[in-house]
Amino acid sequence: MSAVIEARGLGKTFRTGRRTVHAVQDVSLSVSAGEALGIVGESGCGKTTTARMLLRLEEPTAGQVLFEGEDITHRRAAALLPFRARAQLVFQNPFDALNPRFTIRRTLAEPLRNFGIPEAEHAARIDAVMGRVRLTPASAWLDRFPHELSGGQLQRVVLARALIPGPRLIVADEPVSMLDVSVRAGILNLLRAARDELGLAAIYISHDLALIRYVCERTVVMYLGRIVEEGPTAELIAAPRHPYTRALVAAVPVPRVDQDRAALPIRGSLSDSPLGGTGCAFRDRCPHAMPRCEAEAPALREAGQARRVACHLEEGAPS
Amino acid sequence: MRAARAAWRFLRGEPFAFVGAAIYALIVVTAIFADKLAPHDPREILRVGRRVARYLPISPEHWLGTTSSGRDVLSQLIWGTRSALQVGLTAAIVVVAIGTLMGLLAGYLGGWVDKLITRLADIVLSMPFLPFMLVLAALTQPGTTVVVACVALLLWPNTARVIRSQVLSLRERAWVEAARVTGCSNTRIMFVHILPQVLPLAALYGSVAIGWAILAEASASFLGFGDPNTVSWGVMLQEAYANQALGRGAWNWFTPPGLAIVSMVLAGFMISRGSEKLLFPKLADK
Amino acid sequence: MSLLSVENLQVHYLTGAGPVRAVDGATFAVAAGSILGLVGESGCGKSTLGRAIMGVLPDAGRIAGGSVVFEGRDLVALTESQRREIRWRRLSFIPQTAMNALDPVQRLRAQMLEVLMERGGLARAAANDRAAELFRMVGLDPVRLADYPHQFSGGMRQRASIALALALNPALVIADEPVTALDVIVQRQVLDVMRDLQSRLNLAMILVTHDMAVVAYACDRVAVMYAGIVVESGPVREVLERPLHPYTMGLTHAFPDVHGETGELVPIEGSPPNLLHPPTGCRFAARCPFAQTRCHEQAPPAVTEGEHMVACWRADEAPALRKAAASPATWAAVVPA
Ligand SMILES: Nc1ncnc2c1ncn2[C@@H]1O[C@H](COP(=O)(O)OP(=O)(O)OP(=O)(O)O)[C@@H](O)[C@H]1O
Ligand SMILES: Nc1ncnc2c1ncn2[C@@H]1O[C@H](COP(=O)(O)OP(=O)(O)O)[C@@H](O)[C@H]1O
Ligand code: SF4
Ligand code: SF4
Ligand SMILES: [Mg+2]
Ligand SMILES: [Mg+2]
Repeated sequence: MSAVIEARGLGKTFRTGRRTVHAVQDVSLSVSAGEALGIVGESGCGKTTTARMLLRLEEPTAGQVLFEGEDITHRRAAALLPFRARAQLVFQNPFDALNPRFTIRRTLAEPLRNFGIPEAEHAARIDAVMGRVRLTPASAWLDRFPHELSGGQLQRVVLARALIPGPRLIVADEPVSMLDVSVRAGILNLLRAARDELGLAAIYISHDLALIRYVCERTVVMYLGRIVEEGPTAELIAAPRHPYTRALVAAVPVPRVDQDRAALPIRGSLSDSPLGGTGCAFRDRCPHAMPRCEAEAPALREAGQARRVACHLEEGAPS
Repeated sequence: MRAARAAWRFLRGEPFAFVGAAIYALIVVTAIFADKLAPHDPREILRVGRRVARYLPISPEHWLGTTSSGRDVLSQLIWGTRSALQVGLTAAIVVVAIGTLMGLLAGYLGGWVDKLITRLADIVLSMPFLPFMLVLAALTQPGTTVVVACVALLLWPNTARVIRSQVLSLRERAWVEAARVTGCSNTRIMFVHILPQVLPLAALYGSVAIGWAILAEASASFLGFGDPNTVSWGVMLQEAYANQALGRGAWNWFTPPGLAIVSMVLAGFMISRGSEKLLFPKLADK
Repeated sequence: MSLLSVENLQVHYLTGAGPVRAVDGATFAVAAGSILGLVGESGCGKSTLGRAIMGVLPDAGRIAGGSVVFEGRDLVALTESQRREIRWRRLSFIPQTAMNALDPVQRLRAQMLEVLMERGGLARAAANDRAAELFRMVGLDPVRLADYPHQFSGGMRQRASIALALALNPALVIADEPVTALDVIVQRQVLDVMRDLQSRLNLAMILVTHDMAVVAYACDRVAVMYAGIVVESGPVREVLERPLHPYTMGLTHAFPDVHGETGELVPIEGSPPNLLHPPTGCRFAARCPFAQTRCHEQAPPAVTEGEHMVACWRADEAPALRKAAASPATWAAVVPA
């Protein structure tokens, strides 16, 4: 199946004053219609930056972004309009994602107007999308302002706004981390249903593997701006290959009393990691680091069916 | 309605802003009902018998006495509110319009637009007000238009600065990014999404501009660049000065317009001072 | 006997619109050396409860009834100066945002020394040693005492505020959402520090969180709050494996388990009631799939069986309700206003 969105060797370097941050380096991935890809990794590892480049909210400093086969890497803002209608974003913080002075109706009409959909169709489309996110009857909600809605309801509106132009790709950056546990499930179910019923390509970003497992078939793990492992989510969790993925899986809390409480197979924290130099970026925290890890950065290699891993331990391992 | 209630709650909590708003309210009411409130025509030359009623002291008849040409001071003071508001409001609207536009462009677009506007603002802020106005008045026709133009030309940078910093922080809000994702152009984001959020702040700076404009009009009139045919506080002061009211101890003539000007300028500052806490809560905590 | 026992505690915030009953009848106990998890969705009164026990309510907050017996004394009845004696020395508090616990313009050493010398009466040299010891205890390098809080990552800040709370060897620490903002690896490391301190120092702790998995990992007992009331409490295993209250049942199905099934998740529709005018009757009734007429009319009393407390009219039907609660259809049938 052809990819809806594809990144090839994507990179972003920020220059602030004298400091240079390599936020994302050499990220390649692709997502087809009807497929959901998860991006996991700890805070600051470059998940959001990657997503923003895929949506062209940020211009990449290296590599290419292809949307439905077309190169949009350096397309000018004015020429991006047709792409915008087809690639939408669900925000992390629903309390900040809606213009506080717009009613819900106006918020939903805004994309329709901008993407040139005839006014006569607006009411029907708004009604339909409100039904899809289960804010019914729509008339009870449309004339309210964001401050009159709870977090879960706001996030439904945010999702509705993303779905209303009829996108082919939807990116959700930590879509439930700001919400109460009791309403998270509702949003996740809606996201899953929208993807299944509309056949969208979806990308979910989170540092929580449990959530990713619920919504994504395939997952990439990022560490310090690079992809270190990729694979089908269930396999990745059942049998993580990269030492960082192993730590990540072990760290996810589970709601059961009987569970493994052994110390994590990882040392220190992200800020202790070397930010440059040669070698594996994970070596200071890796329990398996060997001399070679100091000298040479591991490449992301195929490691069996639909899996990729970037670790020297993998070499010679059966694939 | 919601805005009105919020404004009221805010005023109750902020004595500074409350006093300022009360002064403005008093002046507006006076201006509206000037023709009913004023006991005399402000330009009428009053007589006592056949003599012109010059320099009458305070009396039940003339609460604030009369001028050297026999006009009722109280009536002039009351009618003066109209010209004060007219000058003040026009100037404020122009200042707010220019300042908001500049701040919006600089804050949202950034880059060279920001540099250019910031530079221009610095230059304008370094220009001395009175000499600038006098030169402009001398080059053109004296009158309120010049006063308004001067205030507008020289005062927009203050507004532009605060609007710019406000826009800089609004620009980072997720809903601005959301507007971009949903296909809004920069122009639309600036004028449809961001502008309504900064208008209250702009209006606040407008309230300071009102005070400045009145002061400027008074200075211009006092120095003889005003329009002598209008009834304004500045013209009152100028007349009092020209007729040596000070030397004659006719304080009932020059004090009221002076106080009126000072209180109106102060009111503007009080409102903005009081609102600082509302707009920049962190600042007020320190 | 329990180290802390809270009995029918009521805390109100006085507002222009009337009193907000943020905590309206909370009953639970914490044994010495044990960790109690306090769970519930945002706004249900977890922070208020923690602050009330500590005696650091905001100005508008008042304890309106009940008792907080700590080491045999009722804290509610103490004077402010008697409370100050206990605060930090016997009982300490980690506020919801670690940044609030730390002074941004002071180096960590100065902040530690202030607590150790002024409140703890230690000499400078002894205080310096103790500060270093505390940092090591929470897994921080004592060299970092010379840093300012902004030079720390989120997880390090959280560790530093734990060290600060432990400075004077308290018997009980109340930690308000100490791991909520952290990502999983750091969260796990901070929880491990807490469990380690618990066993080494026989420290008791109240750990406020909204994540059942965190409770399962780190706590001995759990109290579930809903709209100002503790609706269920007991040993973690009991409550997680055999929940008696429908809200607890809902919480256990509301979020995915990384190794468990990937079946449909079950949201609890609707939102908690306004605490300005809480409903008469059971506060969960509007969102409860098992609500009956009596639930709307009369508040269910708390019933204790063994160590397991619950406030629900239908607690004796719990096994059947649990089965029903596992199905999404049960919850979807509730359409709250
Ligand atoms: N505009 C920017 N200027 C400079 N550095 C930036 C900028 N945006 C991001 N970065 C840096 O890029 C790196 C990756 O950031 P990013 O926001 O993508 O992380 P993330 O994985 O989404 O983290 P989180 O889980 O906390 O959201 C970080 O080191 C961050 O500080
Ligand atoms: N200072 C305050 N004044 C008035 N109401 C407050 C105040 N702080 C909290 N509340 C209210 O008290 C209730 C409980 O709040 P809180 O204890 O912060 O909940 P939690 O920590 O469980 O999220 C909420 O309804 C909240 O709105
Ligand atoms: S390459 Fe070396 S340091 Fe990096 S993860 Fe593999 S074993 Fe660890
Ligand atoms: S008392 Fe009734 S409404 Fe309340 S939780 Fe029990 S069954 Fe549900
Ligand atoms: Mg991010
Ligand atoms: Mg709280």
